[in-house]
Amino acid sequence: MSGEVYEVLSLGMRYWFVFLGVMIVLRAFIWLMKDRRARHQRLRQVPDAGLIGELAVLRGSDELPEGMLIPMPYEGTLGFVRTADVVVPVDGVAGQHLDFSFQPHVGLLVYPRRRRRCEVDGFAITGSRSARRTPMVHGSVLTVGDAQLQLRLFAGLDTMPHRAPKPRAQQTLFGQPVCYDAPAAPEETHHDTLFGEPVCYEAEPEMEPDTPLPPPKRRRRGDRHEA
Amino acid sequence: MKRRKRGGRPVGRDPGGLLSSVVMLFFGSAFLLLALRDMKWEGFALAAGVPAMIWLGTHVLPHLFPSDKLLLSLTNFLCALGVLVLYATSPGTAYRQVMYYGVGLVAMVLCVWMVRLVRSWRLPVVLLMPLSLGALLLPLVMGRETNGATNWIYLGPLSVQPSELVKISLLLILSFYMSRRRMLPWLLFSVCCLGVLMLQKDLGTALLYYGVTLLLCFASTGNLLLTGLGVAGGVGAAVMGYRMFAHVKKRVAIWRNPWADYENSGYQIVQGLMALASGGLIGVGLGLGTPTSIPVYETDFIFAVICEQFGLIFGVCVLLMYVALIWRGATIAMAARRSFHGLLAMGATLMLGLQTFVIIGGVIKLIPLTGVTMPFVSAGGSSLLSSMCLIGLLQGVDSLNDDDLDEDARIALVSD
Amino acid sequence: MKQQRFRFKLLALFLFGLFLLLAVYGGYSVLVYGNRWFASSKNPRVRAQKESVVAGSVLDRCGVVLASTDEEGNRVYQADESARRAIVHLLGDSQGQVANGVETFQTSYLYGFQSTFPELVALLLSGDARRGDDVTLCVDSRLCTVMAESFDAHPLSAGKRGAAVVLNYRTGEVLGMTSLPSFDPQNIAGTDPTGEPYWNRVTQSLYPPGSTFKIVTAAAALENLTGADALTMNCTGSLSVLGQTIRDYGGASHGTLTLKQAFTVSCNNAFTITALTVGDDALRGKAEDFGFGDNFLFRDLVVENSAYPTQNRTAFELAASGFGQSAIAATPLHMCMVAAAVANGGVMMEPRLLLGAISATGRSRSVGGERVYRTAMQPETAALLRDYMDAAVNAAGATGSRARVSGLTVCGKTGTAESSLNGEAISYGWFVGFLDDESLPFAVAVLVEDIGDGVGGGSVAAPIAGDIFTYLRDNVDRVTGSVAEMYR
Repeated sequence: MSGEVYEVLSLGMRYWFVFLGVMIVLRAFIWLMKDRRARHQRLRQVPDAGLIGELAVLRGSDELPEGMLIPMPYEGTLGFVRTADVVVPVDGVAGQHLDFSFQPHVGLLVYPRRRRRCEVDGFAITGSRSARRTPMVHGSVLTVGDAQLQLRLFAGLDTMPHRAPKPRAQQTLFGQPVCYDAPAAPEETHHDTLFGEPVCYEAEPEMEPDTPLPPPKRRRRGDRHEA
Repeated sequence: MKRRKRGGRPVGRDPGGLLSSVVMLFFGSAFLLLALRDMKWEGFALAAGVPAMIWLGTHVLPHLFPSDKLLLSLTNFLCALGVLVLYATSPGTAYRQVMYYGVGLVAMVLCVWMVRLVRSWRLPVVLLMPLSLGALLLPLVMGRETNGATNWIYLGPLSVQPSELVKISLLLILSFYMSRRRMLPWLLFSVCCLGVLMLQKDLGTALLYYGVTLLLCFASTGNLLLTGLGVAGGVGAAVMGYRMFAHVKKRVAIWRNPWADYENSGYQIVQGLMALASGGLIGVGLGLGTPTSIPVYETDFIFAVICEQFGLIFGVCVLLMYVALIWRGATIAMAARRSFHGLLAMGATLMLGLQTFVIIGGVIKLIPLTGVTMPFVSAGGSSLLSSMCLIGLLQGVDSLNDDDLDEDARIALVSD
Repeated sequence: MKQQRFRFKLLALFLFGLFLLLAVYGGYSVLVYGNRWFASSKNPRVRAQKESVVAGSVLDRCGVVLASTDEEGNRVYQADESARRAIVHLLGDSQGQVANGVETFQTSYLYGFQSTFPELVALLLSGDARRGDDVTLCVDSRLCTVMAESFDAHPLSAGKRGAAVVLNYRTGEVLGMTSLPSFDPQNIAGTDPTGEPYWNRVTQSLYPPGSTFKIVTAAAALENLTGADALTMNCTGSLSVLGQTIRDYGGASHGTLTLKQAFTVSCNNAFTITALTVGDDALRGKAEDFGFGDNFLFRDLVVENSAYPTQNRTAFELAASGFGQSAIAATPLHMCMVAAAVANGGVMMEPRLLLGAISATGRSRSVGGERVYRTAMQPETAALLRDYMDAAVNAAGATGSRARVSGLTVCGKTGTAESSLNGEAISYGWFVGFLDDESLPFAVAVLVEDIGDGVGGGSVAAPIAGDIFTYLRDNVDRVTGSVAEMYR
């Protein structure tokens, strides 16, 4: 093709290319927006997405009344400040007190920050090793500062079996019988079965009888939107 | 737009298909035009082949591996744009670029699988640290100096830029240790990397590494004091570098007034600016103009070539495509469950965004020129490879997010 | 995690901000600087286009062809050599020796870059050769020739280097521009290189304005000091500031003066007192109102930026600034704009060169219209300064008396600036002024380099300005009408 003809053709095509370029950008952003909306819709269908369960407040403070249920994400921080993932406005809890992370098939691991204290089922957590050895499972109680919080996982989440709570006087635990289906600390268990069903033990009640530990809930299902 | 109902769920027009049809039209007509200029069969082959690849990339490829369709489409558009502009100026480079794109796709899929399959990152990260530093040091040992920086190594016919590939391991190391809240390992590693890059005089990549490290540190710790110290350290290092190194002084001098030393150091920027100005709003026309008069037009200054051929409006459109990429990347990072994945995704996004900003800023004389390339569009195997790997990381995190969401939804639905 | 997510959002917004900065800066740069970059002689696209396109002609406002392309493709200028030499710095030459002359700066018109797509299609179909647009300038080439001849006509300025420029203060049109020494664009090889003949002294050379800066000082005083008009000062012939003595020209001692009288006789001591009273901040502010320190980005011209010094502002420097010394520097074009602002009620118009452009097919292209550059002062101040400048030419003992022309009211200000070049002292003679006449709204600036001792701007530069005014008076139709009427 001769130079001049090509030149004229190319000069004319400029407008076409600019037009297409703008169309491409517009369509890309429309797609972006549509995806966003679709994602929001998906999240509405599963309102508990990203959560592993709840923390039930066994002992809290004025701002954190007993019986309150705090939604619990997979990973995050726990502390006094409002920007924490789990806000615990109770004395003795630092601004950013601990990090937690749920490991599948293990449980919720708790990593206190420097110089912070916390206990899981009565066992003090001092470093990452002790964190890995005491995962929180459904029913575990976390003690931070003056607060006691019980983890209630959703159904369907695999964890390790529940380790027996620390069998000492300082232990602060559930007041109602709990069913174990795995061996707990040696001093306190006998593997009794009655008609094949695990036997329930009564642990020493240190506190007033509390509400019974409910079984793991299922995640809620949002309404499916019919367009 | 009426929504058709299918199975009770609303179905709009497929946005991916809409986008890909326009993109196919664009590249089909562009390559056709170029083919008419040269009347070579390769041109016509590309005019048919590139739209076909776009179609495949939109409708077939996403089903082969867990992927994010939008990211793939954006990436494909940018890569094809690079091939287009290269074909208009130097066809040989264009063919090589297509080959690199193929390799890049494989690398992207590998990265996706890596993110999905690796269970415990502790061992890989600990191994990666010395390996990466070693790789960075290689050019000093066995490389040659090109364009004032010693950051290439030549293995036979191939030339590799290790600093591009070490970007990935940098992200992995930073994300891992930041999510574990252990500052020392990543701080040490990044300082060493920066040191090696300064030795190699690869200031652009050093700036990039520094920027990503600083911003990720801010994202994970939120400690303003620490971030402030980082910024102060960076500014101090920049000032010291300016005082101590002559080539830094030269770079800053030609940034302020490239016409002063037009013959030698300012030549590149001046040619770039003239290309920008010649393009005006709608460009001089595809295949016209003299883009080849800009030195290094294939890699660093490819944006000037695009603005010359297609105009400023189209240049802004390309910028907006990068913005869409960043938006998507940030969305993926925010949707991540684990801190590690979030930081990884955000780090990849930051890397791409900062790199684009630095090179376009240098071309339009907003900031001094550095030696980084434009992601996806620039010619060059290492650059394309590392950008594809970054996209692969993003897609990996996105697929994990989707899996997690599906898992949660499944458990919720099981109750029925 | 919640906090981390929030910080991710912040980072994303940060990146968006960076990209916005890129788009805005890029768009702004190309819009404002685009033509300069494009028109640079180093642009290979232009060189390539020059091969295939016949360059359009350049005409002056009366239809005189200043430059055109002949059949062989060579660039041909006016037949008369002195006319060529007088206008070459404005016009430029085919080799680009003159920086930013019309031949290079208006490449986009002259080489057909402004052709629209339909025109190109029509051209392709008809098979004719490509031709650029013909450009009509605001200048009058005869005026430029007269200005150059006037330098040689007076013994004190004959053979000296200098610059002269005439502006229409109502519209900003440049009527004439000459720089000496000059060269012949038709015979570049034979140019005598002494004195930098390719340098356009009107727009590219910076000189200390000397007493012509008193216009700015007086404006600063009138606007910042109440009752400055009635202020009286005492001139004793020498004033000591910080241990250094300021003397008046020729050692004169003027006694008690008002500001107007000081302006008329150009008393340095009085303006030193004025400057010290006004203060550096106010004086600098006024200078900036007049455009000192600004980055001139005129559409048709590239003008070197004028400077008002900002460092080392001791009291002595401030005192010296009052009469235009210290490190103040301005181009003759800018000083002409200063005078034009006084004439135009305080409004400075942007200098323009292009009247119109017409394509090879007869279509008229749009060129920028007149534009206000800045408002330098209040209209009342301008009216007072007009009186001062009137007195500076027409009153008894006025320094600018040699610029008087019968039948016209000439207002102006002379100046003698001292500087040093290569260690030796050098004096520059200035005259800036305007005609207070609605039918001849023109401002003039004349500069003569190296006038020697014992003479001032009033003796060397003012007579040249007088010749210019005389020409303007005698050629009203030529300088106010134009052929370009038919383009509108």
